[in-house]
Amino acid sequence: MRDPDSPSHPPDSSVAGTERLSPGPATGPPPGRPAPDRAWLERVRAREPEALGQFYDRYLDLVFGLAWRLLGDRTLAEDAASEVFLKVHRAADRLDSTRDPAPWLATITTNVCRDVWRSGQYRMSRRAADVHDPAAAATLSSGRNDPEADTLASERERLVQEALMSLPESLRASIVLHDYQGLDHREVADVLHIAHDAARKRYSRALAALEQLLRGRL
Amino acid sequence: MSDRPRTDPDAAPASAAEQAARDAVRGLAPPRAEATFRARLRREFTTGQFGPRRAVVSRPWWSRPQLLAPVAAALVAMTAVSLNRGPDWQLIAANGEGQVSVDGAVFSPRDAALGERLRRGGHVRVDGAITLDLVAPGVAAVALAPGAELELSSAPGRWWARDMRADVANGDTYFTTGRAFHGAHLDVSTPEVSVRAVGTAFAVLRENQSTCVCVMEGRVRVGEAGTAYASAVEVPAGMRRIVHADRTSETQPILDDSVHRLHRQRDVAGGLLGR
Repeated sequence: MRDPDSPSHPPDSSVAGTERLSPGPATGPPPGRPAPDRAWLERVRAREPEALGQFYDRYLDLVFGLAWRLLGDRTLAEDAASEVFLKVHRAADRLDSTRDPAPWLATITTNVCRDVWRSGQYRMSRRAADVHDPAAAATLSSGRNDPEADTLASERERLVQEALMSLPESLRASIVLHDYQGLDHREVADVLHIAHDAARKRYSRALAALEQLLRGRL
Repeated sequence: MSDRPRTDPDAAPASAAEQAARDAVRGLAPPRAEATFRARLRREFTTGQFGPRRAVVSRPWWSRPQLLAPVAAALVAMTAVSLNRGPDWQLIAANGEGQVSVDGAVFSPRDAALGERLRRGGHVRVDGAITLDLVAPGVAAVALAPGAELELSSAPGRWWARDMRADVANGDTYFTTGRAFHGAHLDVSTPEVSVRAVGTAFAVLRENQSTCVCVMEGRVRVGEAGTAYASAVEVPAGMRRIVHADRTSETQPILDDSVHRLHRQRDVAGGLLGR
């Protein structure tokens, strides 16, 4: 189990000496996303500003999107993303350049969101969750030139996000990591520091609960 | 939304409704951070100079190990001290006319506040024809005859601080220990003597220039005031030891009146002492 405050990159389980960067057998580089260049990650480790900028451009959306889905609040997601990148900067020299940093970033982001969940400000913000925030809605638009479709999509987004926020935090994390973030159960288990079987069972409970919440609303 | 693979050999078969819910989550658009935030955080990340952050993402104080450990230790200590505390003194009888003074506050024997004031002991003086019976349930009973004056400590703790003290200034005082007193000790002192009892029933009668210790049951060591208990005389049941101010002393059979008063105390408090 990794220390959530010590975001050192997990030990490599991939084939040594190859460009395969993902931690497990089912977690290779995602299709459509080229495997991170090892030399580039070494430059990130060295905190070269240009490499850090590229790293940030590549992974900000992953971090921010996951935080937003877990926290349901744009401001809190910004705070969480800031915290994640601060931790990454501090721990850059521990980055494993042989592996895809995405699962590592998902772990740090989830841990930071856990800290946010425990905070008093989060509980206060939950009373006035900004899923109706126009700015947030704007960030969710499809980009199509179809206001009606955008409105429908926006409404659907709102319903699903509301349902997610109604789930207990552990169930929400399970379903967001698996279905939104695209991690498999083994990766989810690693991120949540639970056993593989427990991750599967938790996901089943989460999906059943979400289905109840969304029943007749979509 | 991530573009990572969505095929999972572990995935349990879901109902159509659950699949729809799952697809709804999978269809969520990736929210994008605002341009100003993106630019600011990028600048901070590339330069390593992070501005002040809101405290919202810092761990709450109670989850920080370095703070949690002392807080937990303090809680354990407070709980232990609380559990160790011996029972409070209860006023079970206050018969007669007169007044009782506790730490300078004067009460009539029928005043409900008297019992409350006596819970943890204190300096007690009985004026008038009053007999006061106190009991710390299971541990000890103390009876004060008219004219008695003493400083009484709280009852002994359950596991540590197993001592109980009474400094008798004047008058007749009767002590009987209970079942839960086992392992504790009771020290009674007067200007003339120091008395140490370990599970017993005895009286300390303080008069002008002398103290009489009457032992009805158990063993009591009686020594001169200020001397070590090791050099004290052990007084057996049925005897009394009288120590005078001029340091002369004698041992005689116990007085019937003391036996009677100790029996009376047992009648009054025995049920609460578990005897």
